[in-house]
Amino acid sequence: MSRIATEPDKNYAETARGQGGRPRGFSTRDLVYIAVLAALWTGSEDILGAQLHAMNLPFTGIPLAAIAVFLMVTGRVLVPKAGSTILMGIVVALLKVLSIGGVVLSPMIAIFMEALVVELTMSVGGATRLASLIGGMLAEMWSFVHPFVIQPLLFGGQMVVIYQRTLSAGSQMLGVAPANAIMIILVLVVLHGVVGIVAGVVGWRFSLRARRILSR
Amino acid sequence: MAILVKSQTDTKSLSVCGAVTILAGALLLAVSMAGAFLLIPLVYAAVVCLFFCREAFLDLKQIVMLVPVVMMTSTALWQAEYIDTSPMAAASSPYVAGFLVGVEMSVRAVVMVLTVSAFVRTVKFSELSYLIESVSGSKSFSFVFGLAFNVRPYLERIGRDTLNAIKMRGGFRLGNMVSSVRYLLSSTTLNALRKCQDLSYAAEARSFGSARSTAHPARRDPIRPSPADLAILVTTALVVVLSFASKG
Repeated sequence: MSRIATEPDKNYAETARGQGGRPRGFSTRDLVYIAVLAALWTGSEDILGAQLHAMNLPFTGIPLAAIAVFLMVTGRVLVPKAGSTILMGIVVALLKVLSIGGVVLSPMIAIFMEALVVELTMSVGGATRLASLIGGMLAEMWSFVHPFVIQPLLFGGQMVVIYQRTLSAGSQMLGVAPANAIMIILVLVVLHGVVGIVAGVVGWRFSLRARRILSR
Repeated sequence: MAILVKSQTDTKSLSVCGAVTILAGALLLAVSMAGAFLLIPLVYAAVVCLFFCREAFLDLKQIVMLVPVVMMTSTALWQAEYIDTSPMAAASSPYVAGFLVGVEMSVRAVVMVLTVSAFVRTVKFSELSYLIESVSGSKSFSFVFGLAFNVRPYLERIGRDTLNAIKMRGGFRLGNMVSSVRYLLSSTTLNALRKCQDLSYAAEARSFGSARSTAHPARRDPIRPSPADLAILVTTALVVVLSFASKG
């Protein structure tokens, strides 16, 4: 009893140091924030992702990544400490394993990479609006680029040749110059980036308001 | 938290050491082998999954649609100028070479999916979280993972209730779709964040974060390589060495 009464600060410090000697800085509240936001992210991936996948719509990654960016930025502003976003990403990727679909490799890597991109951006830029929108933009762009990175990793380097051939054959079939086809892809990348910027800014503004409401 | 101490499958014979060995060995072979030599990692992965994790074969369904597309595309689009770069350079026709390249790519994908699936399904979550905590130097992963797993149904219920409430008030129509989504997101997230205070008090009331930490489940029951782990280690080393030796 006397131990608890005399050493409250030490207790907090142990938690804040992650009990491993290295300063991690996560208090219990921080960890709970990360866990709850990770659970929300997983819920959106499972429920909305499954619905969109079942509808067989194109660009289903856009809303999913936008929600992910919103939650990551919110989490990062509420827990402005290095490692919080990547921890969230790892938890969501592993929770994805427990979902109905089984071990789905590609979304797991996509989730991890999006978290890594936001983590790096917000570690460099801090929990600011600029870092939020850049992080959001890059994470959303990753959702578009992801298949073109993961498929060569999965199937091997020959996939790049297949892409080149598909691009030129598709251009010939549609009567579009290959340069214009590349332009279409660039437009799609920019579109993803704009959605990411919006999601990042919305997440940043929401987190400021949430912090104000929660501190009442 | 039960998920942290219970393995997903009954593959108790392998520990995390064996699972990591399988993953590293098969991925190394899948990346470095080409042509007919790719049959080595395929056979290796299939035999390992057959012995230790048959559920891994179910996860092949995620590439069931992709493999025929890759095969057809490579057969149709592979051109004569790429024949020399094909692993089956003996093929004279671009279509045959393209088909063989498609087979090679598909085999590589099958090996990767099988081994990653076997790894995730074989290793216990307590061991995996211990591994992650050891690598990251943080002791909080198990707590975050367990809490996220347990709180998810509650948050999903909050989300569904909010969705129904907005729908009953005329939301999610074409005219107010954006504002409805905004209300849904902000309301669900804010409700979830409000719950955080209660959760952190509950955790601290149960001594989470106290000075005297309890040992991680995996540390309380230390990971000792089993005979199966040693057999896997020796077999993998032999397969890798023989594969590279035969490839030259």
